[in-house]
Amino acid sequence: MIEGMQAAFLLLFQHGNIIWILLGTFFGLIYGVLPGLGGVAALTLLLPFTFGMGTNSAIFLFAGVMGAVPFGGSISAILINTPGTPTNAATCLDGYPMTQRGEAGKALGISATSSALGAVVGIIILIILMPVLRFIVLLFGPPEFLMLILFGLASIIVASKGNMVKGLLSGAIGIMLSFVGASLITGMPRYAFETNYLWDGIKIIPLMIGLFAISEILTLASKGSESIVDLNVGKISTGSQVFKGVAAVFENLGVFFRGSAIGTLIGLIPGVGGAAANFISYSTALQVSKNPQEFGKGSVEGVIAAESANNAKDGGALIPTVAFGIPGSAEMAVLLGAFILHGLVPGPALLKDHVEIVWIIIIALVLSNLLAAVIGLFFARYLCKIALTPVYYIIPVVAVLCYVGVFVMHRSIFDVVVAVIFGFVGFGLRRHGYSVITLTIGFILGRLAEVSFHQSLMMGYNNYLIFFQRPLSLALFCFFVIILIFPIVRKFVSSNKVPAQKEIRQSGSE
Amino acid sequence: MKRKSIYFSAAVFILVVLYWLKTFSYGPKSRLVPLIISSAGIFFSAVTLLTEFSPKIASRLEMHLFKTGDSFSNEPGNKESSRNLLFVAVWLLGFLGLTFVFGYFASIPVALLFFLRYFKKQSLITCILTTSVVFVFIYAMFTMLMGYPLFEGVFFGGILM
Repeated sequence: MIEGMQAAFLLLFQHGNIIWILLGTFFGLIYGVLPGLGGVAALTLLLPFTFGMGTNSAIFLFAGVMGAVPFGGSISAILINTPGTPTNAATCLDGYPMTQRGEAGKALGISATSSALGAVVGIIILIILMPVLRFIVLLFGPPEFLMLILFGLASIIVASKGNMVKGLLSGAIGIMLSFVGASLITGMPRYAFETNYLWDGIKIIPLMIGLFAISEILTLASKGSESIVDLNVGKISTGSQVFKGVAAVFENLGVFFRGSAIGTLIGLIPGVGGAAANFISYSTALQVSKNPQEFGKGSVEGVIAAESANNAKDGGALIPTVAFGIPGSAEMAVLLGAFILHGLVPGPALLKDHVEIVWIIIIALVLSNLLAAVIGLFFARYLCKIALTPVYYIIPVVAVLCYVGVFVMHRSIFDVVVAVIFGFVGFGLRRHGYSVITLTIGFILGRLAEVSFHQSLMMGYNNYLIFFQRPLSLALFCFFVIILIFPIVRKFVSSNKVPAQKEIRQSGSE
Repeated sequence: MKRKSIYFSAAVFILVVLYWLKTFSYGPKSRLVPLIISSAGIFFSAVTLLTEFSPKIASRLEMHLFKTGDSFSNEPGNKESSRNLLFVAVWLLGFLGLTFVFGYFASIPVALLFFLRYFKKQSLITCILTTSVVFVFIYAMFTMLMGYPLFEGVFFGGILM
């Protein structure tokens, strides 16, 4: 293992490999910032170009891109409420409200720091777990996976505010929308209305861009405000706020480490995806926070939880990819393609014969995350100015970026139509008190829940007890129940405390 | 009781019921989970519709487990705001229609020029300059640098996928 690390460090300084990391970071940042694109698009585009390159240089380039994309996506999520990639959707929930109240610099500082350090923590967990990787990955079967998803879906109840039934209804609508398309269990197309387009289901990018960006365009127009920032807040983000954001991460280390651990855990389960990691981390932070009333209004904890999990998941996703040859995420699937293109066979043999390749990915991921954060922190003060740009420039430019970004991913004009439809739907939902947040959580986790539910039943020969017979599944279920009951108990206790305190005060004054 | 909210909740209720009915046309395994979720959806949408008629019930359902902040709150605007909203909504749809028929190369300059000229009455020079900068950026970034061909529009033989 140590020899592999030494070899990778030596390779880093040979053949200008460090330049490939720099290029990858720059490329990844651009792909992350532009709405609709993201890691898969960037890696797919680069794949044919690396054919003539050396294997090590190609892996340095790929890992550089993968490290920078998540932070790039958070920039547009924070500044214009448009998630650059689907994994940044949870960042919009508190990052954009921070921008609205004039704290874009602080939000970018938090995002850059928690992204970079989250990735480092994810990688450290990967290194520690390397000897027992196989055992850990095999612990998580469909029943355990379902329990994790249920845990994420529980956040629908928590995130429902105001009229709780409307929040739950939005969550149910999100889950219902996730069932559109061919069933992953039976193959039967559902709610596709005999169209080829809907056979694959509603794609996540048009839905996200519609619900967040296009509905925000309509909201900005209806509010009649001059800029994204509420100019009445009195303080507008400056360069010094960026460092307040950096400090905020160190003041909330518990939230940061929890988010990173959740991100790594979700990342190592193949097929879950980063968007789920983001939301599960966000909802956990919300449920255990001492200041839950701040969530959705621009909570520092909300941004840290979402961004640390987002970048830590790459470390986790690397585990099944290199250990078993099973991609832990969509980006890892393209990376596997690159491995094969360069004559490497992923799996146990890679860990045994080419351990330096694993170390190359680890080193490049850490370096590109740190580089992206430094670039982000340096440019944050200039990026903040976007939030002060008049809305009559913001609206058309964001609309053009959304229309083009949504189209280029799958080259389908119908994706743009879907994005516009969801833009209007999202605006209507928000205007009438429904929650776009719970709809998004339901959409991301709904289909995953259905698949693992059926897979579990198949494993248990249609015996529903399978969910409670496996120790880890049972433990996760108990944890899920505790987390669900905890806020109700806390609310009950705090409501009992207030009258008791009043009585004490009254008796004291008497 | 707001009439617009009643119409919106009624539309949601009808759509959820239609979804639920459609579920029965699939096999048992394909419909199991959608049926459970859409049944819950019908219950929630019926209660929501009820709350639109009765503010008393609505206030009872105002459950704040955490009193989470609502970043999406949207107060009804004045006449100017309504005009802006209508303008942007029509513009978004027009932009989409123009893209569908004539493609991005025609729709982006036309849509941008129109918006800047008529939304806040910018000077013609500002409009042309802004449009040119955005158009060149989109073309350079997406087509030249990343190599993505943009949609040409059905009028110019663009392929629908």
